[in-house]
Amino acid sequence: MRQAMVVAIKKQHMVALDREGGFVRLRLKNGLAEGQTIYYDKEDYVKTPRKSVPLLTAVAALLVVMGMTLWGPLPYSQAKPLMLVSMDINPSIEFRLDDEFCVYESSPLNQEAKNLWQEKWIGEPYEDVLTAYLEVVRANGYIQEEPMILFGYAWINEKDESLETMSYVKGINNEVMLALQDKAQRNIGIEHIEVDRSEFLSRSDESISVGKWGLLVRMDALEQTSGPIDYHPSTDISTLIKRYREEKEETLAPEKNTEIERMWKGQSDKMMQQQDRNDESSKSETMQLPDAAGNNNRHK
Amino acid sequence: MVYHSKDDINDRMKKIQAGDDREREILLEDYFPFVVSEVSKMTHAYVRTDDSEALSVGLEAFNHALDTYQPKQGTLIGFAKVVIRNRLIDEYRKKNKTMSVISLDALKDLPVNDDLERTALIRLEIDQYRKELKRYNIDFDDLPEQTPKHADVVKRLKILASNISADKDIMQEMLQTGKLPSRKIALKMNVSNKILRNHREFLIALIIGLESGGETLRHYMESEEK
Repeated sequence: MRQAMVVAIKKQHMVALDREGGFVRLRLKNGLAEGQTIYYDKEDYVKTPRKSVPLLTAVAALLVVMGMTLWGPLPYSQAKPLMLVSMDINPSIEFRLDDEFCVYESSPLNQEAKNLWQEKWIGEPYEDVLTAYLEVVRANGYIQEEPMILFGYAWINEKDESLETMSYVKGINNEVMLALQDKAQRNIGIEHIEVDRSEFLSRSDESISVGKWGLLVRMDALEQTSGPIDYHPSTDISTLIKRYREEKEETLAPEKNTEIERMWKGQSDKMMQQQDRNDESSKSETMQLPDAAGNNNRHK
Repeated sequence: MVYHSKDDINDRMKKIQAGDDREREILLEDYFPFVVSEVSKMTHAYVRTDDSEALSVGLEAFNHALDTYQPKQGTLIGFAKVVIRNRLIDEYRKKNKTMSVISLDALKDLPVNDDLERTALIRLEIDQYRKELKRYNIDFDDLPEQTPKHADVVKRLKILASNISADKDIMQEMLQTGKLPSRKIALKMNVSNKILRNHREFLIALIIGLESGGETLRHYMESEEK
């Protein structure tokens, strides 16, 4: 037995506001008046009335269907392009989102992604597309052991840049990944790379996702590497992310920060030279350490 | 309503008829929906929560049935149905008779002024609410289909509506443009666009009810959680 307040009385039924805050359509009974609070039961529900379609609407719908049959589907909406989100696991893909956070265009960047992508996802909300796409990725065995996923972000128009929007999209990605982690029962590492305008425009190879491009540019900028990165399209993303994280960690190591702080504090040249000498000796020690594969490949 | 086995009911009836008032109270509470349903069927009207003479008669009759019921008379429900029905018919006859003799006395049965005033106020609230919804092209008749089927979703949307109505910036934009500022809400409230799109009309109805509805409407739409 539930309670509701009568808000509208129609010819065939009435509409009431349920105590829980929902609206219900109930059958008419004696003595009804708007504003009354009544008890009602499941038996009192009225099914949705079938609305008759006016003749003019039916003709218009028929014309649209005929038009679409003859000239193909209508182009997708007047949505405003907002941002580009790339995702690399091994399949590498880019999604273009509009300001309603729906995917209006997608570019599978390698054969694996081309095999998995489904055109029907165009026009759907990004969250749904990402969930569906990752489900296919998982079903095809790309989520194995402890995978790492790279998300790249670039604005399509500079004026749309906003921290709130960026954190919202990142939030969607994190949420979908958490759900995937639960489902796949694996730890999934995520790296988010925001690519600025100049980096985005400098992308020389369109087959490299913005995320991967941003990652390579950053790795190059980290002074620990000498010369261009030995990147090959088949380099797996986990290796790249791990390398990037190592480089970043070493560049931002505590002793380096201390050095910067001292410079700002105007320490004497002598002390700085002494520090440099200390750094050089510690660097040479680090350089002698081979990596897990037994190669000393950080400085080639 | 709690359904009990026949033995269970018979045990409880024995206790009640032996003078256990606590058990009587619990049983009356358990069978309240049954009484409401019977009264509604007999009167062909919904039982009002605030003022229903028929419900009082029905409850009294059910209470009386508890004293007089014997297991050999069949089930309690079957017996109580007959008692409630007879008592309502008696009351109806009594009332009609009185009304034909002294018609002025019938006026006493009308709701007192306070109730009239209250009902008028609620109707004004509903009328105002209807007009506000029209600005967003929403009719009351659209809303039952727009109401989510799951109580949890309704609960979540009530919380969201409550947060939105407390946000001056969003409310200003919504009232000025006559549209739900989905993008702003998605970003500020950390809610997915899909939810906003799927439940747009219901959400607007809640927000408008909270914002411009009166006390009664707000009472229905306010979330218990914040």
